[in-house]
Amino acid sequence: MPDALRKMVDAVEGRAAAAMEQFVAGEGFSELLVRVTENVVAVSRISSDVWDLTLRNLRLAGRGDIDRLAGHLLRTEDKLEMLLQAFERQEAGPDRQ
Amino acid sequence: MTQVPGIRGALAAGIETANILLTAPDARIGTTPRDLVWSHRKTTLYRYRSTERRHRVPVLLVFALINRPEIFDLRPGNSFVEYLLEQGFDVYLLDWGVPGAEDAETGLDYYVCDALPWAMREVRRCSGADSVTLLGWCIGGTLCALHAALEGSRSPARNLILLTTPIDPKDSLYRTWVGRDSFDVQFVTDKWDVVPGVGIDVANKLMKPVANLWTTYRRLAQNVQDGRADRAAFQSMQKWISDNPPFPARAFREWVTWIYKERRLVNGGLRLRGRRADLRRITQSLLIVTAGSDHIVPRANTTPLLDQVLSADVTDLALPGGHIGLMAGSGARNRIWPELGEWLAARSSG
Repeated sequence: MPDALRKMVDAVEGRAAAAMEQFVAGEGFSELLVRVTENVVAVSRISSDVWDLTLRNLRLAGRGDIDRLAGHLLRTEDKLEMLLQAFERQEAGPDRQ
Repeated sequence: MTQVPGIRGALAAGIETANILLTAPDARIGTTPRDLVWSHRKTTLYRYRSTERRHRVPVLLVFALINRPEIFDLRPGNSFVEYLLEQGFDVYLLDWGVPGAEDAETGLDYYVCDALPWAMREVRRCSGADSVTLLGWCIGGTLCALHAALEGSRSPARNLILLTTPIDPKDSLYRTWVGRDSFDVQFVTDKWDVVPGVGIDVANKLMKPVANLWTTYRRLAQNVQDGRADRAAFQSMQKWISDNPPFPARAFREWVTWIYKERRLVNGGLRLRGRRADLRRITQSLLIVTAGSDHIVPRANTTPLLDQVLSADVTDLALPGGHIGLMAGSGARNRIWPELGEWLAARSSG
């Protein structure tokens, strides 16, 4: 790429970058971002629910079932950690507590 | 016909650029040998192998809840972990893992009141040292500061290093976006068990849309054409940037509400498990590092901490660079790492 063209591209890019940064920091864009985020969240939730319902009606474990099971495993791990800590305190003796 | 070599060169550069981008996911990052020391839920503590541990106080690296901690150990020759090991430190890394929907109810209290102190306990046990240096980056820094603000001098943390850490996000672009009343974080976290990492990544990129979505790739193509492209450096960073774990819903809600909407950390109203996080309880030796071109956590978002802490030994380091480039850019090895190394060495004996 010739030097003159390169310099021109850099200059245009610099101006575009500054303009875009000003644009995304504005109230209008911020509000737009909020609404778009809410729409994406709502659509993804509806689609996830539909898939889950379909799987359940096929008598297969859905995402919700797996999440619940994983939640049980996490709570069991928490209890194990607490038990280990209690055991270590016991083993350390009263002086270390 | 003089146009032909130019067209051929541009075509070859285009193919090479595409190849760099397409094979970036295969780049190897975080390769320094390490051992798993402890794990709980998704959290894992690693210790890096070394035969040259000279400093008594071990260093625990804590990264943010977005992106992965491999940024500390990006690639051979450009790895902060590698640098610390060379300097004789005993280095540990706390990896928050990749949360799933089952972690929806994991809040900031888990990270600050459970995982972090438990990891420090394991670091002390493993190293035989009484105290630890906590080095937190971005949200990881805020979690470390919260720990110190809750525990004060009871914490085994002797030194606290906070890199580009949000403390008071007043006037930041993030606050303009998520701190506004119309952003209903409750709606988002009611619907999502975990906030997808890709959504957070898009938001980060939108902060500097032209630079992130166009200039990066245009520069790569130009560097390839000029024969100046650093394939390994680009691919390792690209791979790291593309790896975005989700954010647990409750932690996300608390993070946005407490830090961005209500600025509780500086207003003194942040409580975890009934205990108030008071920044004035921070008495550790403190090093704060800010980056001049950081658009994610501008310097003004970190410095309010300096007005609150009671540490007698405070160092404030304002350096040029961006949020990530500061520590992982090509100039980090010669600029910031030696400063961190010297600061640490002076506070890691006995």
